[in-house]
Order: sequence, then C-alpha cells, then structure tokens
Amino acid sequence: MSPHDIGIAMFVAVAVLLLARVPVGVAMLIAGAGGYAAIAGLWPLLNTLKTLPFSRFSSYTLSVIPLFLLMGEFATKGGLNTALFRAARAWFGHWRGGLAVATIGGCAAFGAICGSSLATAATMSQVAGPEMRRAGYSPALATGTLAAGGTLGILIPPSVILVIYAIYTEQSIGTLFVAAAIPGLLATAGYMLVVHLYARIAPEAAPPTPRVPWATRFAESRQVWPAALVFLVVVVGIYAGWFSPTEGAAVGAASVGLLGVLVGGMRITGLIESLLATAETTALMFLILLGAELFSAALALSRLPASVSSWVVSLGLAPVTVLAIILAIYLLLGCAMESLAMVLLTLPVFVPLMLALDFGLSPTQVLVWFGILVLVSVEVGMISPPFGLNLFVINALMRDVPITETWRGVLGFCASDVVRLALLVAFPALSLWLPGLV
Amino acid sequence: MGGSDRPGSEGLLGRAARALAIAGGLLLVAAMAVTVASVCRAAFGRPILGDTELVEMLVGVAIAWFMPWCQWRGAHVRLDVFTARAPLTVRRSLDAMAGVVVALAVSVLAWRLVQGGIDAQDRGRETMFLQIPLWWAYAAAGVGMLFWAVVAAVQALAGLGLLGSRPPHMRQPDG
Repeated sequence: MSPHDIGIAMFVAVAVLLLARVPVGVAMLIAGAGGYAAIAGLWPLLNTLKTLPFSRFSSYTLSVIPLFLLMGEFATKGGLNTALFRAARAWFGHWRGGLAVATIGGCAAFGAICGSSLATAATMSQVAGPEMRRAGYSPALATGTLAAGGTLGILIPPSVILVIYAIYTEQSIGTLFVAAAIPGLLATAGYMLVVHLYARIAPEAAPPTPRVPWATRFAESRQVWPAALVFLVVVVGIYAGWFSPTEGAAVGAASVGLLGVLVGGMRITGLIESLLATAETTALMFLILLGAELFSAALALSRLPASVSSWVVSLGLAPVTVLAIILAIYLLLGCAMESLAMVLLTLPVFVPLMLALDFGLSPTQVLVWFGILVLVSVEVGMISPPFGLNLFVINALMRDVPITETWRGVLGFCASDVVRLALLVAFPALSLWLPGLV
Repeated sequence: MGGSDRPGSEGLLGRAARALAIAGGLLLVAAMAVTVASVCRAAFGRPILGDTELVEMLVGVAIAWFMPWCQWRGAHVRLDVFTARAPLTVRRSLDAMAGVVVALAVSVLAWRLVQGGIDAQDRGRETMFLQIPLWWAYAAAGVGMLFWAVVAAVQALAGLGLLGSRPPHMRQPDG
C-alpha cells in the first residue's frame, strides 16, 4: 500500500468503526494508530504513545477548554440561566411571540458565558421551556426556538469549537472570538425575526403576554450587568492581549463561580455537580482531541491532504464553487456526526485546500473567515432535522412533545441559518471587519 | 445525551470513578486559582514564576482523572443515527464488540503512559522553572488511566455477558 492508500484506508476505517458503534474518539485513535504504524512503523507509534496522551492533556493552550466548560457549568448551577431569561422576558415579553423572542435573547446572553451548544440548549430549556408551555405556546414553536437558541452557545464567543479551530490553524483565539461577534448578532437577530414571522403567520401558536413596567424591567436586569461585565472582560481582554486565553477563561470561571455563590445561591452540592458535569464533557472532548491528534499526524505522514488540494486546484474550479462544496459537505456530515470530531477529521484536508485557493485574501483572512463559516455550518447541522443533536437534547428534556413537532418548529430557523451562511460567504467583511482584518 | 437516565454512582466502581472525577475537578479549580492569582500579581508586575507549568500539570492530571467517570457514565460520543433502528440484539452485539475494542485501546494507552512515566523518572526529567519531577505528574495521571482501563474492561466483560448482570451503562435501550 502506498502512503496515499493508507490515508484513504484511515478514513474508511473511521467510518466502519463508527458504524460499529465505537465511540468517535476511540475510532479516530485506532485508525490514526493503524495508519501511523503502517507508515512509520510499530515502535515509533508505541514511543509516541508514551508521551502523546499526557502532553495533550497537559497543554497550556488546551487548558482553556476545561476552564471555559467550568465557567458554563458555574453559570448554570449558579442560576444565571434563570436570571438572564427573566431579564429578557421583562424586555421582550410583550412583543409578538415575546416569550420565544426572550428565549432567543436569553440564549444569546447565556451563550456569551457558555461555549457549548448542547449545554446552552439544555440549560435554557429548563427555564424557558416550562414558561412557554404555561403561556400556551405551541410545542413546535417552543422546542424549535430552544433548539435554535441553543446554537447561540457556540455562535457567540466564547466558543469551544472556535477555540479548537484557532489552536489547530494556529490563529489567535481572540481574533476569532471577535470575528464571530457580528455573525453571532446576525444569528440572534435572524432567529428573533423568524419567531416574529412565525407568530404573525400563526398567532394562535404564541399567545400575547402583558407589557411589563419599566421599573420591573430594570429590576429584573440587575443580575445581567455582572454577567455582561464578565463577558466583556474575558473576550475583550483576550482579544486585546491583556491576558492569554487560558488566563481569560480562568478569570471568567472564577468570577462566574463567585457570582453563583454570592448571588445565585450555589452551595457544595451545586459545586460538586458543576465539577462532575465539567469532568464528563472535558473527558469526552479530550478523548476526541487525542484521537484527532494521532489521526492528523498519521494523515500528514500519508501526504494525502497535500495531494487532494493540488488535485482540486488542478481542476480549475472557481474558488467559491469549491468553498460551496466544502460547506455542503459540512452541512451533510453535520446532520449525522458529532461536531468536534467532524471538524477535526476534516480540517487536515480542507485547511490546506482553502489556503491553496485564491480568494483574493491573505492567509490569515482566509483562515479566520473559513473558521466562522465552518462554525456556522457545524451549527446548522446541530438543528437540521432529522438527526440534529440539539433536537434530541430538547426532546429528552421535554418528553411530552413528539420529535416531529420539533422538526416542524425548527425549519424556519434552519432557513434563516442558510440565508446567513450565504451572506457570510458573499461578504467576508462581516467576519473580518470587526477584528480589523479588512 | 439527556443525562438523567445514565448511570450515577452505584457500586464500588461508580463511587470510585465519581470521587476521582471530583478530585480532578478540584485540581482544575486549583489551576484556575493559580492562574487568577498570577494574573492579579502580574497586574503589579510580579507574576508567579512557572505558573503555566503548575497549570499544565494540574490540568493534565485532572483530565486523566476525568476519564474513568466519563467511561463509567457511557458518555463518550457514538454515532447512533444509523444503528438506532437496528434490532436490540444487533445493537447489543455491536456494543459488546465495541466495548472490547475500547477496553483494548484504553489499556494500550494506560500501558504506554505508565511506560512514559518510568522513562521520565529514569531520565530525571523536570519542569523548566520549578524543577518539579515530571514523573510525579505521570504517576498521578497513571492512576486515572489505569482506572479508566479497569472501568472499560469491566464494561466490556459485562457487555459480553461474562459478569452475570448487564452493566449499568447498557441497561436502558438507548436511542
């Protein structure tokens, strides 16, 4: 077998192992180890494995991930989800479809402290789900809103996927966070618009709720200011270089933790629950990261990515066509696959390809822009029927709503996602202007 | 996903995995505290020497200690989509095989990490600023890795039906 064939065989092996219900991280680990051993030899592999796992676990750059996850858990257990939703309800509640709009707003605010889509969807469901149902919202609209709102967890910085993309492509985490700000706000506005249209077309799905006096609005917003301050300090601080991403995440986690104890009434039980939830998510992410590390090392040895990109370039397709094909692949894969693993499996091939194509942008601009596009496509996958992960999370939490209702409710949001993705492709400045890359 | 119907801390193994994960979580909180302290002191021009080394070690060990809990809970992400409709017996036998594969892979990882720790001790490797022997971290992480392998092995044996009862992480039909 030539190294090329080995590279292809590795992808086939991952697919077969995944179908055999082997966990994603282990599948990549085994395929990577097989490829590595086949190209470099068994002893080099065993030697690498002596230090690879611990050096992955103990990487200063990657330690930003467990710290951001801890911050998100503190926010949940410290009751920030409730506080943010109540504030959003006070401001938006009387709008057409107001509670759903407030849910989107609450998700966006929570997403500014939490870097995970599933966590945001699950957390906000606990607060906003019962509320919307009590007010007589249709199950389709309620669950669709929650599933879509959850994706704001990764679209709005900090975002774990974006952190990993930045580390992988050796770009600044701060720059990518800032680049994601306008697309994140666009997403929030787009989702609110979808809710508004939904409520206009089907008024019975979203009964009106009374207007709240201004005094109440400000009273309900009290707990939002500290959270907003934490977000600003963390994201701006990382971008401006006041501190490293790890330091920013540590400061963020510590302040949200303090906030939870002082304001949210978090006690020992809540702390232990936060630690256990962080442990679980961290472990599953680092198993995937470990598998991906070995996989991409072996793939680099096979030189398959380089040949793929020179082959695609030799086809002479327009760069935008190639980009559209890549994004279509992400949308398709995203319907079935875990997002982190999908990104890590594909980046070794797609990043060199993107850099080889001429978009009239500098390499940094291309990588930042592509990072945002990948983030958005991954996020669409999380809510596309029938397999989107967020849909199942919501379904598990609100068991009385059949999944088919959720599918119906989320379609409008998917449409707004596709429009936004097209806008971001057509206008790179939407991603590149704020970090000053244009 | 969904969390609530997955195994909690029943049995000796579950309780131990939970305790180790909480201990790892405390290490993570310690890493957080070291970093925050260093940021505060850096604001006055006196950062903590070698704070990144401490953070790396604490977080590295913490993650190794998280692994058995994640394994115990059956939380590692799998692709369910294509096999969710398959008959229960097919899924059970696939899961039994997958369990064996996972146990073997994890055992190899644990074995190599322990070997890496022995190497680090032989060569007297230390961190750059604080000169902490690297094998201390490897020894601590090794505990987590070996325990991870034990949990995976027990789950694999249970999946093959060799332990009498079905393991908690497979008890409910997932999907």
